[in-house]
Amino acid sequence: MMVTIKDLKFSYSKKQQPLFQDLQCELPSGSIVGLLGKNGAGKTTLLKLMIGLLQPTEGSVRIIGEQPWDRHPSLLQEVYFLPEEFHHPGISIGNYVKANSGFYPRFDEELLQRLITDFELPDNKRLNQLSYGQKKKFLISFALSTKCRLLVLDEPTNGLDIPSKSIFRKVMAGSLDEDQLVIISTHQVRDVENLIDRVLMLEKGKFIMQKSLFEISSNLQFATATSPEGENVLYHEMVPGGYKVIRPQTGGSSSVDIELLFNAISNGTEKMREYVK
Amino acid sequence: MSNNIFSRKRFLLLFKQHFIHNAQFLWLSTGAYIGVIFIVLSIAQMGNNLRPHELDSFQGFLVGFVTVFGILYVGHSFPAFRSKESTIGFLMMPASALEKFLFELVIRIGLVLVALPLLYWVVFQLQGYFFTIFTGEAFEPIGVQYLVKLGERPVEHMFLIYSFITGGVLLALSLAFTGSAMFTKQPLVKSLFAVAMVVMFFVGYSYIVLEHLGVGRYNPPEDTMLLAPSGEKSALRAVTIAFFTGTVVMLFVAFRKLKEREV
Repeated sequence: MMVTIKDLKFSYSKKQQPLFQDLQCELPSGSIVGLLGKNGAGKTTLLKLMIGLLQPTEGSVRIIGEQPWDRHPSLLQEVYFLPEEFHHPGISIGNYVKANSGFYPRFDEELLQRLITDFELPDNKRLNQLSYGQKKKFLISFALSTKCRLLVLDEPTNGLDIPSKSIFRKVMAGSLDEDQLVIISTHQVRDVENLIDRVLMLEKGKFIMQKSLFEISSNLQFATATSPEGENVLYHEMVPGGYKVIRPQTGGSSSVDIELLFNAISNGTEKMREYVK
Repeated sequence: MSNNIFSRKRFLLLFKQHFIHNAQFLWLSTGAYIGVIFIVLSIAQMGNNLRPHELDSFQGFLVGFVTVFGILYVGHSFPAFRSKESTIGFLMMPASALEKFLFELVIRIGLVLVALPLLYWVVFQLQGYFFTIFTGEAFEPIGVQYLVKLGERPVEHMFLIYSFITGGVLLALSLAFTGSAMFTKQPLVKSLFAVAMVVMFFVGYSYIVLEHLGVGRYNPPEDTMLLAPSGEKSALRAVTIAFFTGTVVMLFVAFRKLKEREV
């Protein structure tokens, strides 16, 4: 397993209620995981625990067999974290790559050039002359080019324009190797649709769902209907022209509407939650 | 040593990264340092009827410039800790805590102890020769050995005095260094304040103990006070040991602060 979390407990101080209690999770390589949750659910804190920026109060987190809190260089060179807000020096893209690529043994400069072209980034400008979205696109390109085995992206689509979001999904899908795992934390569920193949949903310090999209589509059917009524409807939402509904899967599979699923689990009934447990 | 503790390759990469990220800042700072030295030396020379500076002024200015610029520079160690975003970048950089700590130590305290005096020496010579254009007085260059040599004549307890000065300088720099590892905002101001508080506490404590509790009037036979320094030499030795011990403790605290930093 690439990521193993066992009995994780964490609180920011002894006086505070624990943010996480007995959290369990296992994530294999070769997948793109969406870490979903409402604002303040603890997504960023969990990511920081995973990469060793915070120390667990109890329990253990292991990444590629190592404890991230030890911050061993052998692990750090296999983990790249792109935070929502980032710091960058006021130097050119070329100099940034020259200064930082050496730390990552599998750094792929050709891939970086390709991604810079895909994102239409100017390579002759200083980083501080780029817009927020352009900086983010460059850092996403850099992150993918490091070829780190674990890429952790916190709200990567924040600040990207609509065409860039689509390019983001395209480059993510096309630049990863089988031994890599990407964890994308977001509350903009639509942005990672058709990209992720596993969903972790966090609420009040607990995972309320840990499933692959294949498992979800085997259990649940996402459809449109003219009426919200029906004994099998687990959840419905009114949309122009009818209703989006979730029913138990009766045979075959349907594509998963992640936004609908997210709303269904966050606002839906216990019965709905039971289906995805 | 295990590769996770220290690797020469990663250590050198930290230098490469630092010089590329901060090239502009380093050039500007060097320019400012040279400019200030040149101007201050020139003003001092003009105020002294254009007579060239001699060894005494050379060493006086050396201490002044290196102390002021050194404390300012070392007081901004661990610049990544000034914001949450840059701290994340620093901690996630694939290098060990020891490599990052040693790098910061070399680039800050090492640079202050080596580069600032050498640069001062070069500017001192240039300024001296530059002024010979305007005056009839000859400038006597001062050898680079006087950056560390105390004077012409041998002094009693020379080694002890060198150790005392070195210990004092190292302690002052390590206090600023550790302060910047501990405090996120305005580390130099907070470090100076913390030092001032500690010094005031000990001065007050010593005053009360010596004056009001009467320890100052206690006059025991010398051979019964084995641990208390009684002569000039032993007092110097005790203070020097305290300086070096303080330096080691401060550096250890800075290392732990780096190693256990959370964001």
